[in-house]
Amino acid sequence: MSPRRQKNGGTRFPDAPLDGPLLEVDNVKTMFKTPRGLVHAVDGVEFTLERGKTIGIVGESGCGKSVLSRSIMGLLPNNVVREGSIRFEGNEIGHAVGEEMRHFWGTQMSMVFQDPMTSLNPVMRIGNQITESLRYHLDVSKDYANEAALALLQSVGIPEAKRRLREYPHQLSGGMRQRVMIAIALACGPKLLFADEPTTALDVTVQAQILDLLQQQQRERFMAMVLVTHDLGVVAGRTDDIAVMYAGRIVEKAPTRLLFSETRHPYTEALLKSIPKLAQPSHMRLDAIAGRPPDLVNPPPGCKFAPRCPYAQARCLVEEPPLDDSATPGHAFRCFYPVGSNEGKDALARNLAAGATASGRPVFAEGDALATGTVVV
Amino acid sequence: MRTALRRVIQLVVVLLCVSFFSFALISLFPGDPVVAIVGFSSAPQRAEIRHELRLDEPFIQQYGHWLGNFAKGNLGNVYYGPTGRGKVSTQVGQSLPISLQLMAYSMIITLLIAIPLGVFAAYKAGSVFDKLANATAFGSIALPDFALALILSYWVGVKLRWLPSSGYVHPTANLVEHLKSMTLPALSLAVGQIAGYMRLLRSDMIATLQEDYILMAKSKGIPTRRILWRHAVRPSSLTLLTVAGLNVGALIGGAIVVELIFGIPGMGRLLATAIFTRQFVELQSIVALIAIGYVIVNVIIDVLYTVFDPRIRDARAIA
Amino acid sequence: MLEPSPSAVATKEMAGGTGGPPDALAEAVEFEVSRTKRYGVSGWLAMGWLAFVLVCAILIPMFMHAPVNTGKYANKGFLDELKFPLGTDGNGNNMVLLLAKGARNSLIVSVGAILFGLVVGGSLGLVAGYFRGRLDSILTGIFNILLAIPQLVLAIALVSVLATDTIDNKGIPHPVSSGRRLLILVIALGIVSVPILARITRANALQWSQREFVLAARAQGARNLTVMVREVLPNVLPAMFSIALLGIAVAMVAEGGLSILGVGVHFPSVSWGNMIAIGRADLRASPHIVFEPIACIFLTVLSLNYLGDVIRARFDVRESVL
Repeated sequence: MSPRRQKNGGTRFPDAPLDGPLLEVDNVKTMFKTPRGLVHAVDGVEFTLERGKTIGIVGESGCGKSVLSRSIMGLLPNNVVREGSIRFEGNEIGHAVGEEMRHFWGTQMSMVFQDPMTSLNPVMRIGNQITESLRYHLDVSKDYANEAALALLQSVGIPEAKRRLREYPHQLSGGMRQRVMIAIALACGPKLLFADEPTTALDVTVQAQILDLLQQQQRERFMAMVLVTHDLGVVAGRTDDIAVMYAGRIVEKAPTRLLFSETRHPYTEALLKSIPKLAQPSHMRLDAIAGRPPDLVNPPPGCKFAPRCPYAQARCLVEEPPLDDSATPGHAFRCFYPVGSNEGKDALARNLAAGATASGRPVFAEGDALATGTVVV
Repeated sequence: MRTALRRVIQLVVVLLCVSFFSFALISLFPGDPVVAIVGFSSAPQRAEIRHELRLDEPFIQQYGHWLGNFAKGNLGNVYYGPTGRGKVSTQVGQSLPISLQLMAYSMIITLLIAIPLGVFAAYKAGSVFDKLANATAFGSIALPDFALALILSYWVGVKLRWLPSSGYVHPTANLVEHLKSMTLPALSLAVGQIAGYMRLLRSDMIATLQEDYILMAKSKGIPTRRILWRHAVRPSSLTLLTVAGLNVGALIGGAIVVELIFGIPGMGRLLATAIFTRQFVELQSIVALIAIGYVIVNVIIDVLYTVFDPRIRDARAIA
Repeated sequence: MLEPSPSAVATKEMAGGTGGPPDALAEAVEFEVSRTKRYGVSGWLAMGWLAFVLVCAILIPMFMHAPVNTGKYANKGFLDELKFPLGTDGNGNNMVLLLAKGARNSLIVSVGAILFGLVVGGSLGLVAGYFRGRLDSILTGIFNILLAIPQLVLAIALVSVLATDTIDNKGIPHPVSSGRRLLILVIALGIVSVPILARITRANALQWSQREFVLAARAQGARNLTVMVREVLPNVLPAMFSIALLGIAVAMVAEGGLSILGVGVHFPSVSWGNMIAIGRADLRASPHIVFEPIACIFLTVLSLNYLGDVIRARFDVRESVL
């Protein structure tokens, strides 16, 4: 039985403007209905992505970054409430459901998932997993699809690609499987690629290779990419922009270089401290961020990071800071007492003097042998 | 290659054990088996039959002799009184195909109905359809196949007169009548099996549909129908396959009883007659035959496993 | 077939994928699972029916007697006369009385068989799972051979051998007494259930025998028998019990099958199975004689299956060990 053939590759919106942004996300909210109540997984996110550009979305697990990318793609289960506007090439897709979104999946946007061990069908040959979307979306012959799959496997750097087409996922190493996943995602030439923690499940040694491959493919194909990760080290130098997410919100957004050089949000600062640096002595202690992310069913009023923030003041606990642009264009953050500013320095000094933040979390200057709370350098 | 050899040896050992067990079991027969088999007879006649059955030899020799004949297809004799003889193999040759037909039909009905139902119930898990299908299945499992056979034969056969309520027509004689005569028996066997398979496939399928690779397939933009049938059914059917092997046992038992209810001259009737006329040689052969068939079916299913799941194929090659 | 298929392992691996749904979703799923299952209305209905059957089986044959002029009342249908709400059979016996007597024997056979299976299979399984090693291999091998014969065929073979009529040299058969026949049915169906119950017990005993408190008891020098009975057995019982409920249902149905084959309960004893087998001859004229015991078997099996499932869910008995 041959699949129902449909031609969707790029022909759906012939009048799509080629100059506007590729993706505009505006005030997107995603909520899960659970017996405990609504979980506000994504709570008012906005960003814009130009053609051929990359954005990194960074945050701890549970911050809503994966849900955000799945929300944009419309890949969420039925117990989800999605609000806000998502425009792809100027067309609203925020309210599209199942059948309507299917024409976008694969051809317009596709996704590379976190775990290549579980994301490939264990009982289907690799070749078939690549060709099936080609055959369905582009209505090509079997031979042509096989040729294309072979070329794809070669382009993602799989040796002996011809033999691999006939193999099953379990016969490949983790890195190879992730390359296959990338090949599948690229098969129908999407304009936008979501990479959801693409290297988290892999060996450290292959992580860089996969990231390089993604970057290379993204440039060659002039494809936009959303790179989701919990590791700022992964996005450093590989993306145009970075959005840092916390508790379903973007807390800081900046061009990549700027985010590292002019960090403003205390949460971004804390994330930066948790990256191991080559310059550090090998036994140097990495700072984990103390405390846990807030409950997304009943989030606290005020700044969501305040309970864990060494800068937190009384105002932070009652009033939520808006996502405001800073003096530098393209840089926005959500904080009343930004890092590096005078307000921030004063706030920190006050907390250190008091020995605790406004939320009652103890803070110590570094070097205090008994330090158990948030350590400030 | 070595694994294949090991498996063959294993199979031979199992078959030997099972055949020995079947043989020994019936030999537990209390009293004089010769008297039981032929009834009224003279002493010399009994001595002759005793010698024929090698009952005067040690037990192991009896078994060896029986096994040798069994392997050659000589399943022993049926005794009609002290002098009449019939061949068990001839009777089995007539009855076995009929039973196999019945089981094959019910298997086909089962798979044709259970798989789509299970897939759809899993896809619509929690829906009204799912709940209804699940409840119906739970009820069907509690209805024994002989009970359903009697209900169908009374309702469809006697009251509505749509289909014959008993009797068997050979397929070469009249194919339509043959299928008509087999419909109710096959259906009686199938309903319980459908329910079991459906519930099993449904629960495995629900687990599969939560797998990452299903989300991955969805993100490729291929239709739901294709995701369900191409991506989800095969990995979900492994438990089903195992249970199918075990279920053949239930199917055999069910077929024996259902055949009797619908007057179908299969192995069930042969077995019932053998018990009723105390033909213990025949009983031995039939029990051994069924047990061996059951073992072989399960071996075939074990092989099918590797076809269904390439990971096992390789795991076995390594082992 | 004698060793656990590697496929079972592979299936488990497949199910335990690490990269699950997004976190919020995982939380929702977890919450759903943690809700404990209660018996519910259906559970109480099931228990009610079983209690009703039990009470009827004991009390009705004690207080109700067969009518004197049976011929006069023969073949009354369902609700034909108020005196016989469930009708009468071809001999004018009140169906209510017959069903109650049938319930008694059906229960004796099925419950008795499973008790036999629990005692024999349970202790063998416990020993195999606790001691492991060669003893375990031998016992498992025996169970597997028993399991290689379809259950009903094994039961037929056992009953037809054990309960065969003895024939003297003059060719005159001496039938087995009905009480003895009942006992043979219990033993035969019990033997059939032994390997199944033994396997379940063994699998669970194997698991529990490795737990710290069992190892601690052994390290303290407690006798093996004491450890088995005091530490392992109580933990294995829920699994055995839930399978036993299903087993009673299976045995009850098997008794029906045996009766239809003519090797079940014999006249003058009555069981639901042999009511069906006898009534079958007159299905056209008086279907109620067949359908009433069928309804009884159906409801009883349904109740037992349901309760077995509920118990299995409550104690998280793994289905995979089946």
